[in-house]
Amino acid sequence: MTVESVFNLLLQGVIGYFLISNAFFFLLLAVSFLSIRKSTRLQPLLDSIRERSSFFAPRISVIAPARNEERSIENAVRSFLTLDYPKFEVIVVNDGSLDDTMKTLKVAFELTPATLFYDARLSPSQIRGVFVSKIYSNLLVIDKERGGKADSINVGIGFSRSELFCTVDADSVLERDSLQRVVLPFLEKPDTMLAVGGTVRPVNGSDVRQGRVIRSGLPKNPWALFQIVEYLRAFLFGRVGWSVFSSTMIISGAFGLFHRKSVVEAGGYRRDSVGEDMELILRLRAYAASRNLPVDIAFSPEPVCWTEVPENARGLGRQRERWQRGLAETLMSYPQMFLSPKYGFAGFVAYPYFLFVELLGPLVEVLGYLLALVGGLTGWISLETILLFFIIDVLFGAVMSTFAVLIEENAFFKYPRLSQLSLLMLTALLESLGYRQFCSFHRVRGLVNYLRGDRSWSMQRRIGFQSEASKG
Amino acid sequence: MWLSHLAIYVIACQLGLLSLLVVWTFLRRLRRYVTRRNNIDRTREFRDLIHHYVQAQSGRMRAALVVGLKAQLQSRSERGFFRRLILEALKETGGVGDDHELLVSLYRLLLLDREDLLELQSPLWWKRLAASLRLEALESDDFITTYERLLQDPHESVALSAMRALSRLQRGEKIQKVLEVLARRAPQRLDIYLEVLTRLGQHRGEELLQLLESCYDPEVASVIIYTLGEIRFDPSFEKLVMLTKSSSDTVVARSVEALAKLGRREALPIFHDLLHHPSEEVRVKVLEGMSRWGEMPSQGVLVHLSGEDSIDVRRAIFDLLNRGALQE
Repeated sequence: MTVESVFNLLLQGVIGYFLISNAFFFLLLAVSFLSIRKSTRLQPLLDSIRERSSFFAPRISVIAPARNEERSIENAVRSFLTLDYPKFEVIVVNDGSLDDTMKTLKVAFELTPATLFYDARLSPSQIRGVFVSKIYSNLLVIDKERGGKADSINVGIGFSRSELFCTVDADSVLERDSLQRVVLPFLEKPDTMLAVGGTVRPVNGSDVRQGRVIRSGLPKNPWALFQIVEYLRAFLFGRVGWSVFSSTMIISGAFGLFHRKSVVEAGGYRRDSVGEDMELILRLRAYAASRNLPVDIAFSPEPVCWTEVPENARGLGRQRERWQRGLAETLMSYPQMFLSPKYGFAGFVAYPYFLFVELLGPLVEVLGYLLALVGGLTGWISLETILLFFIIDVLFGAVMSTFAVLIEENAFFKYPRLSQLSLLMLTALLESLGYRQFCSFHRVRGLVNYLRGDRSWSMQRRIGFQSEASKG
Repeated sequence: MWLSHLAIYVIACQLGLLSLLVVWTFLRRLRRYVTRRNNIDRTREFRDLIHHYVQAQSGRMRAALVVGLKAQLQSRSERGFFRRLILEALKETGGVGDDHELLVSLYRLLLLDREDLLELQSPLWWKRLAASLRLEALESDDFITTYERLLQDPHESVALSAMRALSRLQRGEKIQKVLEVLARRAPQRLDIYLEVLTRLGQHRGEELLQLLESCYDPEVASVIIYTLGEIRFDPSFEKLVMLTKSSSDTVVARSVEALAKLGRREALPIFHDLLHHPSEEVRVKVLEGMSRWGEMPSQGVLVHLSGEDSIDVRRAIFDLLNRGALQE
């Protein structure tokens, strides 16, 4: 077999992969588009919860792990406390902060020590103190030794007495009605629903005051702008599509609602995992499969949580590298799911998709670029063909992103100004020209680092929310 | 060569699709602007008409307004839009008073209630739910039979909305109907049934007690027991004490819970006995009940229970001890 024939074989493989994965994307796109249109059917039920709150509303514990958040913690907790939901409590878990996070909380909410029952099954962490607020009867603050985000949530679950619990990042901003929206799937299928994820949107460029997004906007920073389109695409048709097939594989750590008892029985969050959010979902699936229990894990397409995204190449690269490592680690932890009938569609289609498209996709993409380079230099492929395929690849990405913008415009209308829509459109058209390749490169790096055994958790540097006014 | 031709063909398709999407998106935006402007005008106009109807001095003026409105509300979207505004106005009345009655009469004169009733026949549950919720806002006894029929709806949310509508009408005699539904289908959201029944049974303790006497379904019985506790119906004490010997753990647990709510200390010896009950659920309820009264089990029993694996029992003991400490 000559080098050229190996090259041709590889090239055919890459093209075949490109066709199959893109067919999947289109399928998800179509399903999501229809699903989001249908989601409006739940509006009367949502209104009903708003109007007559005591009905249809199971109690929820909002668990917010916090570490070194002294700048934003007060606003964040105030925003959680003003959520529009009839029965909820807020549990803030201070994860051994080195700054004045705890002091800020004590002063702002007039915390006083309390003695409460703690279910230590999920975390044997050393609890330094438990505090309740003199002002807000539904606020509970736990001060503990450092153990990581997953451990903090486990501790929060140990103090929760609610049927459901919701995890939020202490530096995220929630929509006022976010709990009402994500609880809906639990009301639809109370016996089988184990978890519901919500759509996360980048907050960069939006006007945030007192822990609320007053006006959603677009950032001037191009990195953040590209991520806005990327999040639209990922959440509005990736996750919605899988949810339709009851095959949700990931719920963002920034916002998710879970059935407490099931999570406790499944063992809670894994403390040593880089991708603890996805790991929990797969564990819940494994837990249900091992007991032959029916399981539903859904996704709410409504924008419910706003989070800050990296605004520079370095931060973004590190984040994507970590995400890819988390994905690899989690998928490799549950090989039994692969094509297993016990897991239904999630095992037969979603797991292989995540393995071959999400995990290996960037590798194939980079391989494709390398083949094009080699082929071009050796003359095995004409420059014209390389160029044409590159254009196809870029245009395909543009079509997907534009469709995501259309879904956003149709269903949610979060960017009301014409200039915002135009900028989103332009970004959608350009996203596959440089930005996507940048991300793919770092995802490949993540995969390589995973294979090398790197399990570290690199932190993202936060710049904190600022209102447009204060930005001048 | 053929590959290049294929690629060019694909690119042309992609460009066409992309153009279509861009144009579609901007057309949606344009339509949104136009609709929003129209809606603002229409809202103002329709709200004025509703206001005139409510404030009109005579029936003749109102009749004239209705005729005008009927002529104006020809299209389905116009009627839907107007219906939404009436329902908003109804919400503001809080369900009582002359304004409420007038708005309901307007709703019915425009035959909007008939449209809702028709929509209740829809095979799509979300349409039935929306129609049920709209009819509920009218708070009219005329729809009682409709709600009763909806109690059998295959979709849980629709059935629950009908129950809620019934409970809002405060028609206690409908208790039997709600219980029948409970007996026929496993309650997916028991808390809602309980709340509905509690509301309906507020002044119907005697009736509930009779129903309990003739009830053989432990699921339904425990709902009645819960309700008796919720409405603090003291004459049920003897019956509840008897039921603590039931073979159904759920019934025993609910009876203990209800007895604790009744607050009669004569039940305490029974509670002490039940601390050794084999069901974890019962033991938890007993401990919670004792916590309510500030009563402590004996040292030996406490030590024994503290060694249990059950997290719920341990939590109940913790609460009991904590409350005792606070009282001291």
